[in-house]
Amino acid sequence: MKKIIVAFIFIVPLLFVACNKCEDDAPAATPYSLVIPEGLPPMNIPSNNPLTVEGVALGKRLFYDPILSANNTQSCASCHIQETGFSETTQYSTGIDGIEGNRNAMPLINLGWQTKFFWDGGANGLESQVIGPITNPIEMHETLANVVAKLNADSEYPDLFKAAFGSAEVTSQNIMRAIAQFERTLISGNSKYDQYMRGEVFFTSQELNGKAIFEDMDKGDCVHCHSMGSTFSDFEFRNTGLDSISADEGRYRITLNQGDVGRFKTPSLRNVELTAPYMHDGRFQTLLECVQHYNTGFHYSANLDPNLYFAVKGRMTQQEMEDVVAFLKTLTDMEFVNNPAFH
Amino acid sequence: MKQLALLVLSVCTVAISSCRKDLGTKCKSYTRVTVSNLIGTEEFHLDSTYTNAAGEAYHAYLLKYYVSHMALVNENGERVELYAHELIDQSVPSSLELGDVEIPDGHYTALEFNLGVDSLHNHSGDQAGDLDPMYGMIWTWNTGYIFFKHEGYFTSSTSGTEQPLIYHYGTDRALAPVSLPLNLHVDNNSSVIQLQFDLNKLYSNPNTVAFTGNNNHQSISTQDIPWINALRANFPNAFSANAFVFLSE
Repeated sequence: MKKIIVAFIFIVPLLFVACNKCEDDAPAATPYSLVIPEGLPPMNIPSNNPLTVEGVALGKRLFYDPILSANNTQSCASCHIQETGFSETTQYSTGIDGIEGNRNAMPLINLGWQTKFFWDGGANGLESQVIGPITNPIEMHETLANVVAKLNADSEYPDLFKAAFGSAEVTSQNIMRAIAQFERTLISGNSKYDQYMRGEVFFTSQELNGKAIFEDMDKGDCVHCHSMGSTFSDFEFRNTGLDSISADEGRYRITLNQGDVGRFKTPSLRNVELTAPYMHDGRFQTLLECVQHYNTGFHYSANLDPNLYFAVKGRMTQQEMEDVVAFLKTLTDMEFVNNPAFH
Repeated sequence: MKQLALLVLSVCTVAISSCRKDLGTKCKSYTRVTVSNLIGTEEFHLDSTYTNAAGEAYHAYLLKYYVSHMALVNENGERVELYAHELIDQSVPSSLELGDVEIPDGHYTALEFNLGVDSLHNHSGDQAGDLDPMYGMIWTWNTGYIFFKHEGYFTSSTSGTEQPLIYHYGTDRALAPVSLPLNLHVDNNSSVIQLQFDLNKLYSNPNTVAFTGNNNHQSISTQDIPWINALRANFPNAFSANAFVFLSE
C-alpha cells in the first residue's frame, strides 16, 4: 500500500509534466550566438526575449517590410538605411502622409547597450520603442491592431512567428520582440579604432593627436559624455547649448522636470562620419561644425551641461579641431555598413 | 487492486481540484466581477447625452479604463487577488464581465483595486493580455499606459458651441487606489460582485471638473497635473460595489 502511494507521488507530477509537453508541440527556436567584439562590454538581453536564429530573421524581415505602415509604402529601413549607419542623410524624415518630422533619424548601432530610446528617451526599452514609429501619425501612421491583422492574414508570417515564438498567432508583443532581437544584432566593433585598440593597426600622427585632444579634459573633453572604449556615449540626457531658448523641449516632454528642457540623449559616435546631418535637429552638416560648436559655438542657459559651462571657449585651435575630426573618422566600420546579415 | 485504483483516482481528483493558490482546504467558492458604467442610477450609453455637475451637456464616443490588482479583503485583512490587469471598454460588452475566480470560503469586507496600471507594469509595452499595446491605451512616444480615456463632445458654457473633449489620464502619479466596503460571506457557493462606476461622480465628487476651457488633457504637461490630482481624488468616490451570493447546490 505504502509503495503504491509512493509510486503515485511520482506518477502524478509526471502526468502534469507530460501534459505541459503536449501543449508545447512546436520545436524550440535555435539560440542565436551573439558575438560581442573585443572591447565592448557584455550585452544585457532581457530574459524574456532571448535572441534566436528564427527570431532575428523574423525581426529583420519585419524591419524591411512596408507592411508595417498604413499604406504599405514605408518600412523601418525607409529612414534607417544601413549604408549610413541605419540613419538618413536628410535633416528630417518624411512619413507616409508626406509630413516631415522635427528630429533627425537616429542611427541604429549598438542598441543592445542602451536602455532608453528616441532623442528624448521616451521609450523604455528596445521592445517598447518598436511601436513608436509604427503608430506615429507623421511616420508610418498605422495602428497596432491593423499590423497584427495584416500579419495574421499573410501567407507566410504566421509560420515565421511560430518558428520564432512557438505560436502562429501574430501578437504585438512578438512583433516588438522580433524587431528588438534583430536590432540587438546591429553591432559595430571593427572600426579602425577597434583594430588600433586590439593592436592590429597604427593610427596616423593626426589621428593619435585627435584621440589625445578627445580625451584631454582641458581641450576636447569629448570623453566626458562620449565615453571611450565601447559605446562612445554615456546615453545620458544633456543640454549641449545648441540654443539659449530651446525650440524643442527634449527630455522635458517626458519628465516634466524644468531641468530637462533642451536635454537630449548623448548619441553614440560610432560610424559618425556616415550619419550626417548631426544633432537632434540635424542642424550641422559636417563633423567640423560639431566640433566648432563645442569649442566656441555653444550658448549659455540655466540648463547648459556643467561640463560645457566650465569649458573655456576657443580652447582648441583649428588644427586641433581637425585632428579630432580625423580621430572621429577612425570610428567608421565598413564591415558594419556592408554586413550582409543586416540586409 | 480496484480499490487502489479508486483511491488513486480520488487522490488525483483532489490534487487537480485543490485550490490553485493553496489558500485553504475548502476551496469551492467561485466569484466573478461584473462592471457597470453608470450616470447616477442609469446605465451609461456611448453617444447618449448627459449633463455633468457643472451643468454642461456632454457625450462620449469612447470610454475605456484599466483596473488592476483587484482583490477581495477578508475580515482579517487578508487579500485574495482576483485579477491582475483588466481593460474595461464600454464598447466591448465582454470586457465588462470579468472571469470566474476560485476564492477561499470566508467573510470578505472590502474590494480593492487600482484605477490604472501599477508602476511595475507601466513602463514597458512588451506585454500581452489586456496590457497588449494593440488596445490603444499606451503612449507610444513616452512608454506608459493611458489609465482612463474619455473622448467625446460637450457644450461649452461660455460659447454655447459643441467642442471636443479629450481626456487621457495616466502617468505613475495618476494611479488611484480604490477600496470599497463589501459584505460577502461565502461558504461553498458562488457569488457575483457588481462593480459600478458613475461617470458623473468622477467629474464632481469631491472636485467639480468642468469641461469648458478644460477640455484637452493628455497628461503630458505640467498644466495637466492639477487635473490629474482632481480626478485621482474623485476616482475612489465614483466606484461602488455590491455582492450577491447564490445558494449552494
